[in-house]
Amino acid sequence: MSCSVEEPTMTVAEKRAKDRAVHAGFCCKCKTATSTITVRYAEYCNPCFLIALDSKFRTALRNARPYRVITPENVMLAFSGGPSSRALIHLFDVFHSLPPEVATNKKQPKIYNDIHVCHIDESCLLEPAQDVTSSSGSTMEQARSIATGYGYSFHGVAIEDIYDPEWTDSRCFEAVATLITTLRKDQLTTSGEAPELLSRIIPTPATTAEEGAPKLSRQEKINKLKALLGACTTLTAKETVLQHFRSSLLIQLAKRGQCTILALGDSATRVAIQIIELTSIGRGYSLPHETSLLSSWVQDCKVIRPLKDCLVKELDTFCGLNGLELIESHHAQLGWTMKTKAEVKSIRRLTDDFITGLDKEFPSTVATVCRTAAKLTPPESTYDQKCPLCLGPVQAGVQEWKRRITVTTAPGELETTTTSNSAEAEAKEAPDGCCSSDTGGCCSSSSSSQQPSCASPQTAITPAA
Amino acid sequence: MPGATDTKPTKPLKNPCNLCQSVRAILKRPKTGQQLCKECFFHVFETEIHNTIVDNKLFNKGDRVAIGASGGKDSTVLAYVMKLLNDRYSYGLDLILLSIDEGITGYRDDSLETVKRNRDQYQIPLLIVSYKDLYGWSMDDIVKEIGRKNNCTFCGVFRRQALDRGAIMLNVDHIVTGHNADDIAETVLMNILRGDLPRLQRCTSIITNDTSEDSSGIETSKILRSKPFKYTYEKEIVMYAYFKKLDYFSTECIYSPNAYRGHARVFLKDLEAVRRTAIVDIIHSGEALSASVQANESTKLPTMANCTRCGYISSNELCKACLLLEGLNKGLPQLGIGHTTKIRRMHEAANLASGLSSPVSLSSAVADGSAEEKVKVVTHIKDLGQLETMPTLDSV
Repeated sequence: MSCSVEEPTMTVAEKRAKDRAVHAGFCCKCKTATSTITVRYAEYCNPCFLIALDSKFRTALRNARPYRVITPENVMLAFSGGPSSRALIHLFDVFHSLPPEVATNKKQPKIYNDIHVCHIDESCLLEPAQDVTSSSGSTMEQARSIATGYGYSFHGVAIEDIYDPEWTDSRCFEAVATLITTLRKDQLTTSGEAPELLSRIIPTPATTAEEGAPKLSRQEKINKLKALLGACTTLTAKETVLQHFRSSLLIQLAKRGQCTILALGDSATRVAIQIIELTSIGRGYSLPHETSLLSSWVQDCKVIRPLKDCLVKELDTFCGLNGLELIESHHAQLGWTMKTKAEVKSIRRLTDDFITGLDKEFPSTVATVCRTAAKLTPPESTYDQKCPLCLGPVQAGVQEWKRRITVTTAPGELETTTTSNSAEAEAKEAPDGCCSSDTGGCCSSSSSSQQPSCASPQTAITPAA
Repeated sequence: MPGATDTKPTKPLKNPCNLCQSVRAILKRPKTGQQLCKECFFHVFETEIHNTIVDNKLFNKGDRVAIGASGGKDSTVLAYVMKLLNDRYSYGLDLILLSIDEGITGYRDDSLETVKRNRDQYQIPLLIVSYKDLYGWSMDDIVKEIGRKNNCTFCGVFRRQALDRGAIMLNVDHIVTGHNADDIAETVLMNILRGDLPRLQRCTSIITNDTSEDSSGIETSKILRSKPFKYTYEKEIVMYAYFKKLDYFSTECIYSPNAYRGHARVFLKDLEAVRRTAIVDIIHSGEALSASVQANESTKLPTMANCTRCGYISSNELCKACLLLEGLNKGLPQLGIGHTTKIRRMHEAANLASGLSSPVSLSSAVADGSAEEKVKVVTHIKDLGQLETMPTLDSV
């Protein structure tokens, strides 16, 4: 069963590479200039490369949102500081600035009304012991100056603000933090607790949150965040939780900026990695929403990924050629939160290495994976029933499924206990709705351990070690 | 339960089993990380398989079920567990071992000895179907002819058909195979990486050949195939075989290594090391993705028909096995590998050139094929005669 019947066959791109060999050394578009850039078998000169990338972006943008729209909408560009989102801002700017003669001559309807840029400052997670009062490491000002350079309005938020009552709808991240940091480690890691833990994470309606919640100082929020990350026992769980925080904040930012479109700078490489990662953590159910060019899952806020056809290498080159300034170290570093060497690897990092490595040997890997996922139809589910943590769709019956395939009862005590458990689990599952995901029920993520909320069924059991 | 805690309440048991709490744990369960004693491990392992069988309604009472047996760990444990569950829960199944002899010296001949021992140990009748008898070629011959590249294509296509033919000879309703959770998770990843949506959709279903649609006329499609180990970790199968001291054969096929799939396998093992539930998580995702594919109109399966030569289910006029076989017999081993249409055309042109029109050659081949087929079947009926002298399950 280990021998496979088929090997990947030669793709169109690879076949075309043969035809192109005639022009080796020259740009494949103009065929006159010497090529300077090679992307998947195709050689380009600088000007042709920029044109090609720009048209790729325009095509994707048109597919995500047809030009013949009735009313122009506001768009929020998510800017992390890395090359992909930096390229996104620049491409949007090029796209949106009409040549003067067109702009003056004709009352052409605008396709996008206002362009906003937002940024999440993760500097509090860059270093283990940073003095909070100094804003030395803060990326906010850099991001602001880039955005204002284009004349776009800028919105910024710090990652620790997830614990600010203003920034959360449901305060359930609060519950996660309390839960994880107060429980004993072994309680988190023993099996059978998952449904029980899940039931404790209940979104509180916004009104009550406002009344009762005391304003936290920045330091308190940071401490809370750090305590949460410290309590997660695996790097995978930490990364997943942070990702949920980011997406929750981004949606909030878009809504506050009166934007009905949120544009993410996910490149093809990134999306391919995400597809495999989501599959591996059991989030296949919500995968179509999280990787598609256009997702209308979130109420009143469409999420688009217009760079979905561009490889990360292309975007790097693009930033280099245009001399776009990037923010160095903009991404939360979790190295310092790890106590043991065993934690150094996470599912995301493994997937990253896997896809990048495979793509070197089989250069069509990224494109194939993206195309596969693009053909999937998202599940039918409504936003009202979203998981409070990951905001994804909730898959029904997950706990029961897991209970049947992972038996955790001793030989004697069979039927009675299990059935009653399952009933309870089911009952609880519905209200809290964990995220789709999977296997674990909720946000899969956590699976392992840590974040109960997400307790995946399976998982929850896990890492005793 | 013999509990140390009962006799010496002052001295609590060191490292007790997480489930029964009364016996010292001797293993860490790969699927959950729980520390268990041997008995509890056997219990959860067997119960999960039982749940899988019951929840998916794999069998009906009185079904005749063939166990695809290679002599390796998966199929050995499968045979053992199927017999055990059949007795324990009175499924009322009539179990038979079915082995395929690919004719690989140094691998299959040895593993078949294991299967024969299993037959005696478990008292389950056994039928061995060989490539040499069915197709006139053993894998050793094929590799001699075409080299090591692509030989897995022949082996895979032939085996699938050989299993079905064996099943027809035995007149069974169902074939169970030892594919485990690792295999299925790996297949899910492979199908995403290859962009194969139709296969992505099918690969997580526990029963295949479940043809509710139009295939009334197709004989082979009535036999179901299923994978009772769908949610069973490979590591646990090995552990189970070890603690039960089962007799199995553990050598990799000498012709098998495959680069692309190898990558996926290594990646899967890395994932499992980081998070032990990754395998089941991937299967869970695969099931969800398969539902997402279903809604998509563009990925319909090709319509199925019967092969004009051997009558086996096929999406073309000739089934893949017949095509490969024809390639071998005519010295065109590339036929059926990669871009077949082109080679098929070349082949037809060659036929025309040699004065034979292709329809004639085809029909004559059909005649040959069926005659050959009859001879084969007769030899196998001899085997079937032997089968009847084997002890049946009832008498055990």
